[in-house]
Order: sequence, then structure tokens, then C-alpha cells
Amino acid sequence: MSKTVPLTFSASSVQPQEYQAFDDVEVSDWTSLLQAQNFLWSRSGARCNGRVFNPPFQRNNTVYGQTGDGSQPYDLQVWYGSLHVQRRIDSNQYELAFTGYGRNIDVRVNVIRFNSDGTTTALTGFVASTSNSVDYEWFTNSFAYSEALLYSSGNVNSDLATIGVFIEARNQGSGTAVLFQFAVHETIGVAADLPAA
Amino acid sequence: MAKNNYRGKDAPGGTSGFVAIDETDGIGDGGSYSQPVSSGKQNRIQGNTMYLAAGPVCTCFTPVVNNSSVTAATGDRPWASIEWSSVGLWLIPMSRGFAGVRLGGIYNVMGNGTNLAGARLKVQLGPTSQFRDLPNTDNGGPQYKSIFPNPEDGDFTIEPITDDNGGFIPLFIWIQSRDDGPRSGATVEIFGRNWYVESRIPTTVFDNSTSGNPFSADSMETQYLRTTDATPFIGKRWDILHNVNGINNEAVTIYPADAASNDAFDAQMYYQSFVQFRGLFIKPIYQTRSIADLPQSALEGQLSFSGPIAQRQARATTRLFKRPRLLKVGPEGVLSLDANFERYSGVDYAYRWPFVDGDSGTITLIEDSVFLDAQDPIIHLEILAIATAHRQPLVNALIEGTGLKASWSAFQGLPFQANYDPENPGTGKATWTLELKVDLLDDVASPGVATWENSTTNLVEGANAPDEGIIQDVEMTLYSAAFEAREVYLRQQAFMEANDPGFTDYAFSYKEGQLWASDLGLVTRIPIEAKLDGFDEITDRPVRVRVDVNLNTDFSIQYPSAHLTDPEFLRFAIVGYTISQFAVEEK
Repeated sequence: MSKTVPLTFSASSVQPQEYQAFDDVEVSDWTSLLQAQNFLWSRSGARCNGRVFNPPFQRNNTVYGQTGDGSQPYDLQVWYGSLHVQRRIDSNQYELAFTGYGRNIDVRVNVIRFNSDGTTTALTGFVASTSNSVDYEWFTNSFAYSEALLYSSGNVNSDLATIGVFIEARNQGSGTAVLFQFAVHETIGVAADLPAA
Repeated sequence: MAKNNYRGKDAPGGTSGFVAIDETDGIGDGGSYSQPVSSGKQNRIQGNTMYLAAGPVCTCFTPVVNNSSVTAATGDRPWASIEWSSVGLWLIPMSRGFAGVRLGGIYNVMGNGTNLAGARLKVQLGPTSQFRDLPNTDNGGPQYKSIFPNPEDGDFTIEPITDDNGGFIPLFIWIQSRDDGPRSGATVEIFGRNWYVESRIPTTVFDNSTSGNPFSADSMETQYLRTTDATPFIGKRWDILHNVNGINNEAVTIYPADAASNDAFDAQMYYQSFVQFRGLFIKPIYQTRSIADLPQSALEGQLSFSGPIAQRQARATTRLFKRPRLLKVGPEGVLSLDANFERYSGVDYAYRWPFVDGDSGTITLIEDSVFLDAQDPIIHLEILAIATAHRQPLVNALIEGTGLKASWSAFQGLPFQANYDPENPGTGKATWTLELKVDLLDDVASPGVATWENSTTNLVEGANAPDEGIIQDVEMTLYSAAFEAREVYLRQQAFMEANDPGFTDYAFSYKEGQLWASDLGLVTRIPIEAKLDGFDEITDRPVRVRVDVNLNTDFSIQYPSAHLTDPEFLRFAIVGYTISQFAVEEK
């Protein structure tokens, strides 16, 4: 199976007036059309944006929480996102991701399903972690949810559920945990994510 | 019912979903020309085009809140008004096929009276206004609930747009509280002027702390006034904007500011419901047919038409790439703990509108985390802002220099200050400088750097990736922030400024962050954009979009005798903005 998600958009090489009726299409033209569509698919999905912390959010505690220790006045509880999932990946799943920039920090993403009967269900959350305590870096993680989980009461025959998300963080154990910026979003798709059917 | 059928609007993604096609499967034979493409493949490509045309994207408005628990509404600043007032004012981009928005998110509605009342939501999309009820949520289970359990209830639609670039359409979201029952014993007598009440209102408070239960029964911001007297007439209602704590606990100011007489009349305090929002998401709705304009007949086994069909599918795909994408709406609010906005310290709740005063230097009013999805994109912001100049408070003007502090009773029966014309609140001009920057944090940063502005920041590659930023000067009318103003916004600003100088009371307007319809005339639209030449490798990391604002030295005030003319008393506030991406080039 050959599927490609290019890193940038390239318009299909199919040119206006290139073909007349009864013409077949060059392979390269078809391929470019498929890849252009794959690119658009990869960049679709719901996004909750996130925040920029300037100065950065800091936390000394090694237990998950939302309160910061630095000069940043905005703690993590100021942010609460919501979404409807938009974009299926392969295996009939939907994938939420966290992307952040910092160091020495674990960020836990909490995912809440708001059911149509007024109840809520805490779905499995996930943790994104920086790789070390010294250098700043971008870090990310994602979690795939089966389709049914994203419908009210976990039933695809019900309404698509509103999903709420919020984050907590902890220090990895030494030094200061730092978070400059983050976003919660449906994953940016890669070729392996493309739905095959 | 199941809604994940082929055309079902409520399936995630909007249609049947995207199905990737193997680039070597049944299309080519490895040579220069394909075998005739099967109608099945052409149908699949068309299905993918339709999926993409449906706009499987959404963004989220995340007002500053103070609690992540779904079972508690503590600390989340409410919207409440017995007249319609705004939650969000946004200009969003349109293109071919745009047919509206789907809204959703999480909300809480409750009240301090019977706690049975819901609220009303009005969504104004261009020329259309559509209404929804927001039921009271304090009925068991979590406090916060989905705004629209049935997603289709959140659809607000217009006639589809036919232009590829359809400009921007106003998306204004308003709320209206419902009556939640009378406050026991809280009858008052209203008299005096038309914009304040000097009477026997029970001791009231602004629930400024985020730590307690949301809004005690005494919280004035969740109450309103209703006449019980025939003069001016029974049932007339006023919102309460402010009370003058510290000078006279009984004085409040009201809206609308009627052209009422000085006659006294009786009124009753009533509770009103209040609304709290957490995430509020916005998803564009598109009519797919006008974008992927391929008649079904073209896909029904006419194999030899594949060339012309491919041309049309390619054109539709490129059109989708060029379609503007809404990335972000704001503002989300700022805390008085934030050094940039600490002027009103002591208020735990977020202020909804970031502002810069004329003497503050450069203040960052927008700083957002967004993904970009096109090479060399244009980042376009539509900012809605209001500029004000503060007047000398009337009483303060009268007693200026005496060292005395005045009761609000001193206002009673006094005329408006000279040179004030409520019909024409504009009083001068000021030029404000906006600087737009877009940057991306470097993945190879120096250790130990604690602030953003140092070497942790590498700007996006390219000429315009704006080390210097995009600078734009905007001349705006200065409106008089005055107690006497008819526009709520101008009165809000007057209250908030009233303690500086003169009043030493608690300067806060309960309805800060809400506009009334009559305020819209004060709003200036400021488009600003940056073309990110050189942003040629789209990343899976969000960029930072930032707008700094400061007062240019160029300003003039028409009645300097009546105004506080120091730049300190000039203000620029953002009451709404959107960030969009335009992809105008493809490589």
C-alpha cells in the first residue's frame, strides 16, 4: 500500500484544459491529486489552541496539579477546552494530542465526555513528557479513542458528544518544571494514520 | 438515531469520512499513462473532496476560568444581564460554500433566587439572528453540561456564500438572563437622575473572589431592578452596572439610562440567572456541493471522462487549500495578577477585555498559540477595539483641590457637565500603534533561560518572519468615558477609572466584558496581517501570534477642560478578535 502525506501542499499537476473527453489521466496527475487531498486531510481536525505562558508556567511539585510556582500569574486551571472530534484516523479511531514546549515536565491531559443526559464520563487521559530536565524542547503525545467513546454514553447511535479537556502538570523530580506554550488538538496526520476504508 | 451514515451531518468529520487511496492501486500501470480509472476510484476521490469540503475543523474560545471540576462552578466569572449583552464579537472569514457555524461547548446556568431560571442565547450571524434556550443546569449531576446535547441544535446557518473569497461575517453571541424571582424585602425607591439610584438598596457586594461559591445571594451583579410603581410604568427593568462601595453602600448605577424624570418611584430587586462558559467551540459549516461541483452523473460509470473529471477534482482541491481557516477567537480575559493589568488589583476574576493605557508603554494584548497549515501563509487578524478618554468625574471636578470626598448624593439634580453631548460622545482622536509578530520556539534552546524573549525564541525563517513585526498605526476616535454616557461601555470605563483620582471606592463595573447593542457604534474594526514568506516547511508545532499595542504621541482632545488629558487617561481595549490563515500560494 502506497500512501503519502506531503509536508506541504502542492496543487495537483492536472492542468485546466489538459484533458479532453475520452482522455485517460497520467499517473503523475492522479498521484498529485491524491497527495494534495492527503495533505488537506492531515491538517484537518479540531483544535483547542491552548495558551502561551509568558513568562513560563513553572511547577516544583512532583504531584500533578495546576498551581504554578513561578511569576506566571496564569495557572493551568485558567484553560478549559472543548471540541467535537472531526477527523477519523485509521482503524475507526480518533486521536487527541498534546503539543508543548518546556523542560522537566509531565503534562497530563484529562478528557471528559459530556453526555446528552447531563452526565459526564472521564475518558482515559494521557501524559506528554519532556525528555530531560535541562534543555527546552517541543514534546508531544497522543491517544487514540475508538469511535463509540466519543458519542454520548459511549453509543454511536446517540449524539456526538461534546468533549472537554483540561491539563495538569508535575515536576519530573529535580529542578524546575517549565511550560512555555501548549496546544491540545486532533493529531496532525501522517501516512500511517490515513484511513484505508 | 445513527448519524454516521454517508451524508449524515453529525458523523465526526461531517460526512462519510476520508478514505485514502493507494497510489498504485488500479490507477496506474507504472507507465506514463493510466489505465482508464474506474468509476469507483473517481467516486472515492470525489467522496474525499466532499469530506474535505465539509470543513472538518473547529477552533475553541477558552475564556479564563478558575476551576476544572465539572461539579463546581466556583471561580468562573459569569455573564448576566436582563437585557441582551455580548459574550463574543468576532469577524470570521467566509469563502465559497460557507453556510454558517456550528457552536458547542460547556456551560452552567444558575441563579440566586429560585434557581430554576435558564437563560437565552442569541447568535447573530451576519444579518440573521437565531435564538436558543439555555436550560438551568442546577438540576442534578455535574454543574457543567453540554450546551447543545443534540449537535444540530448548535447549527446557525445562512444562505451559502458563492464567492471564493467572501470577506468576513460578524458572528456576535449574546446572552440574556431570565428572571429568577424577587429578592425578599429588597424594595427600593428610585429617584434623582436617570443613570443612578440613590436609595435604600440592601448592602450589596461584588463577588470579586474566585474562592467562594459562585455569587452569594447578595451579589449585585446577579440582580436587577424592576419597577413596582406606575411611574414610569410597572415592570420596567434595569440592569445594575455598579455600586459605589466605600462611599455609599446604597448607591448603584443602572442601565438603560432612561430619559426619566426626577420623580421618585418604587422598584424591587430581583435575581437574574447567570451564565458561565468554559470552552466554546466554533466549527464552520459548508455547503459542499458548491465547492466540489461535480454532478453525480459524471461519476456513474462513464469511464472515459476521467480526464475532465480529474481537472474538476483538482480545481476543487486547490480551492479547499486556499480556503481561509479560522484559527482562534478572543480575547479570553486577563487577570489583575498579571502585571500588565494590575491596575484593578484585588479582583480575582478575569477581566475580559485586555487594554493598554496611554502611559503604559507597549503592552501585549494578544498572545496565542495556533497551528499554521499552509506554506507562506498570510496571518490575518480582525481586531475590534474601542478607544476612550476619561472625563473628570463630575463631583470630583466640583470639589477638585478641596480634599473632600463626596457622596453620590451630590450628583442628585445636578446637570451634566458642560460640553458633554450624549448624542456625540466622540471627543478627539488618538493614534495607536499595533505590532504583529509571529514566531516559533526553537527546539534547540539554551538551558537555564527563563524568559521567552531570550534565546529560547527563534523566529520563523524568512524575510517577514517578523523580527521587527508588522507595524500598523490606527487613528481612532476617543470616546468620553463618562458616568453620564448612554453607552454602557463608556459608563463601565468611567466606573473603572473613578478611583483615580477622586473616588477611592471599589472601581469595578459588574458588566465589564459585556457590550450592549448601542455600544457597537463605538467599535473600530482593525484588520492587520503578516505574510510569512519563508514559512516553507509546515510544522507540527504551534506558532505564537502576538500583538503589542501602545499609544502614539499623536492625540488630541476636543474639550481638555472637561477631560483628564494626561495620556494615562486614554485607553485602547480589545473587545473581540479573530486570527485566520489565508493560503494564497501553492508550490
